Amino acid sequence: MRCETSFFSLTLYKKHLKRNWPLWAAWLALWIMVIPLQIWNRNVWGSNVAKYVRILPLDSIAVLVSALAFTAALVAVTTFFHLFKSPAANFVGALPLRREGVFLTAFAAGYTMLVGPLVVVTLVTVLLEGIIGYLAPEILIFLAAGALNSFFWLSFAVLCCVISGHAVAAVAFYAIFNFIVPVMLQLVEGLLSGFLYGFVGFGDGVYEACGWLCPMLQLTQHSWRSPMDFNDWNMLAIYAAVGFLMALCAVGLHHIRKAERSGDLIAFDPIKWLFRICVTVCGGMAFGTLFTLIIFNSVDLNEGWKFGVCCAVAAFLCYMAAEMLLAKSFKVWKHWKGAAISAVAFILVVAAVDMDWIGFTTRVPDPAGVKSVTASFSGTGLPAVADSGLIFSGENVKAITDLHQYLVEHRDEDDYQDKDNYLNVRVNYKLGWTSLQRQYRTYYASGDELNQLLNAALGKGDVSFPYDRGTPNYLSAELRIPTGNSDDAEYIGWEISTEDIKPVWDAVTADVKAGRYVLRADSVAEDEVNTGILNAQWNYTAAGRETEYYQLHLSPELTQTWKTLKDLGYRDQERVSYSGATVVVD
Amino acid sequence: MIKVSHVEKHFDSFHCLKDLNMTVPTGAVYGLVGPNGAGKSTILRHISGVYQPESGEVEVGGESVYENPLIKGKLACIPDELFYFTSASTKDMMKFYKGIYPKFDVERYEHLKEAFPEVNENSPMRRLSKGMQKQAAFWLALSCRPEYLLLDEPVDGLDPVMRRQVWSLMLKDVANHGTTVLVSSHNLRELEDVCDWVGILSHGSMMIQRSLKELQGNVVKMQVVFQEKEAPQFPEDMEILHISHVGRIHTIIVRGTAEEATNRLAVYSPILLEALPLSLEEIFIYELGGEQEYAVRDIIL
Repeated sequence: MRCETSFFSLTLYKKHLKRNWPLWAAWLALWIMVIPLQIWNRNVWGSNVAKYVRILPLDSIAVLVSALAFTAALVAVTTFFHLFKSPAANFVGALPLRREGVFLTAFAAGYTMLVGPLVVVTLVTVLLEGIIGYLAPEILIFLAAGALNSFFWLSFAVLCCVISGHAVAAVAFYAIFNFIVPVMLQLVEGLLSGFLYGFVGFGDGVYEACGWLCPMLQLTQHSWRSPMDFNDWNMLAIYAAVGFLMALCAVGLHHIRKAERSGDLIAFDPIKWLFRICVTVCGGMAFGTLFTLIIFNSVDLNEGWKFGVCCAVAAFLCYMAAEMLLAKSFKVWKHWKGAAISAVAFILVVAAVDMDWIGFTTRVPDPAGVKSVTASFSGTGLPAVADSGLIFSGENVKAITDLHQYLVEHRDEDDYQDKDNYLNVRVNYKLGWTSLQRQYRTYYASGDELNQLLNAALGKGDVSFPYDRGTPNYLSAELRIPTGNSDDAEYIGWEISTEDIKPVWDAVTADVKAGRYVLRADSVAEDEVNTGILNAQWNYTAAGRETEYYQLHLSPELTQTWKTLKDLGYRDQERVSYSGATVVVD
Repeated sequence: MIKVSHVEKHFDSFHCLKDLNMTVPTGAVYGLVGPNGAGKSTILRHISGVYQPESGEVEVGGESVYENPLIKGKLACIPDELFYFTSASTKDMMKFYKGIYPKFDVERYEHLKEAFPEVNENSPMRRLSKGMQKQAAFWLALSCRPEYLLLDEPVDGLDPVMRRQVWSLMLKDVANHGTTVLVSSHNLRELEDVCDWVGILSHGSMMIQRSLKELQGNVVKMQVVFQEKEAPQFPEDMEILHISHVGRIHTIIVRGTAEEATNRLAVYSPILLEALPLSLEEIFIYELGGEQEYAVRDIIL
């Protein structure tokens, strides 16, 4: 079929390849040097060639991913040249080709320029391996990874080109989109942690999700260890699928893109608004922080107004800068109202956060509305088990809300003198469908109000033993008993056999259920109560092979546990606490 | 036929084309004239299928041209800003056009070599002078055997001999193949020689669109010497576009035929009364003189 009615123009395709030959020739030369030439050199000068031909292609994949990211941007800009200059847009627009035809032809040419050289490198490598007698399939893995990844990077770069009407801007957007999300996430988390007393952070889930929005890091952090590493294949396949969606998006936008937008920073009006907002928000926060550091030497979040003013100034400037970029002119003063609104919005947001207008920092749930609380405590004088998480429910919830209330009410106290013990508390309330998480770091002295509230809470918390999660598969356990005193502690240890783990944990569970396991927080008590340490790990088949580790400090009150250990023959001598007191167990 | 109906176009807040209507008959040479910024290049880009009208229709040969490769294959354009691939020669571009335009005629391309002897077809186009590039553009466009030829300031940069040469080639195509030529230019004297239709664009709207003969017959320049030194009060229904005098000789530009104007002025028993035809340039100036801020001003510095 003649090209004038087709969705693909062979003439234009050939033209792309012909006019951009230096680009793909350089790409080909690079990979010829990286793989076949290195194999040849190793064959001539080195040893262990058989291993080298297997390792080199896999080791090169991380480099390939990075290099592809860079090369794809260049390829996209050259093959979609008609998006950036008015004469080129008019020339291509007047050709008897469908817009989809122009897009698909340019995309196919770009993909050929990226993958074609890799195919040649693969063929040369296979030929070379055949000649030297070490044929290895790893080079095909290299090619497949390159083909999948090329698709993603090219689609990504082409989408940036279609959105923008300026080649430099398109490349800049491409680079910024690669890193903006994790950078802004870190910045926002850092600022919120400073402003919001008790703010926990975004959590690993958010970071993991956002990691996917930073493809450069996500893809290059993976190193290929074997050809059948399915995690890596999955990642490449997912990004290739995302690339497919991006390509669809790009072809749709290319179809509706106005030719007269060539040369504009952004080719679509709705995206211009998005650009203004993003530049103002990201620039306002980043430069606001920078201005605060420069003018006031530090970002003192106790004086939020300084930060707010700096952010407002930065937001104003960034809004105007966005307008300048969009208008390609410095004369944008008529847009001062938008900039002023942005500045005021920033002041309001900083004030809202700083003055806690939404009651984030002072919020303590009503015990009646709490289904359960998981709280973990760590610090000086605290038993290690408290760090693993204590569970509070029913009437016991009040103990933790009282502690929480005290922490919130005394948030501004910074008199840490005579308070030797630090305390980290992290609480996670389950409130029906929602949850509330907070974490605090503070100090207490033995016997003060906080210590009493803490002991009250520790005394009422249930150690989160796994008895409500089905029967675990016990993996290992060991018992360690201290001898001597706290200044010169030594331990005698026994590894508990596989068949004995369950009875020991049944005994521990019985003690806990009987209320004999009472936690307290103070350094003297720690010496008194910690007369043994039980380390154990287990997993749950039903819960996705999740493995848990546990460390339990054994107090004398855990009579059932001690008896079981004695019956099973894990101790045959008197136990002595750090303070030297002999513990008698019946 | 090229038909533009009620086309609107904005560039941001600038209203570039306002309810533009225009008809170019098949086989006509249509001159599109208008002041700078009137929208000439913009409407040409609509007709070549580059721009999509916000409203209205742009039809070529009875079909909408936008996203219509079949129609675009019948069009050849020479824009005001020429484009060629980096380091491509005329011959390279010929090979490209050959693969793209269905009616591209390689034989004609070879024949036309004689018409453009100064253009080295193997030399990169970017190394050619502006005039040479323009010649190469004509060479390629005419080799496409277009049914419709769209030209935006086409002879800009060509020497007088080459101008005559390319017009001659184009008019031969019009005569032999019925090619429709739409040309925008500020060189009104030249258009007057080749166009049979003229459209005057102003502020994005079509002000006047007529055959050149009709246009020239519809405005007349009268030179009159009245009995009195001053000109009399003319009736209100007499559409006078411009009036000036040198001594006792009054020059009056009147809308209407020479006969009508002569009859109406004869009632004042002038000493001298003569009807003169207007050049296209004069028509352009006097028609647009009625437009706001477009009167010819004598500026002395």
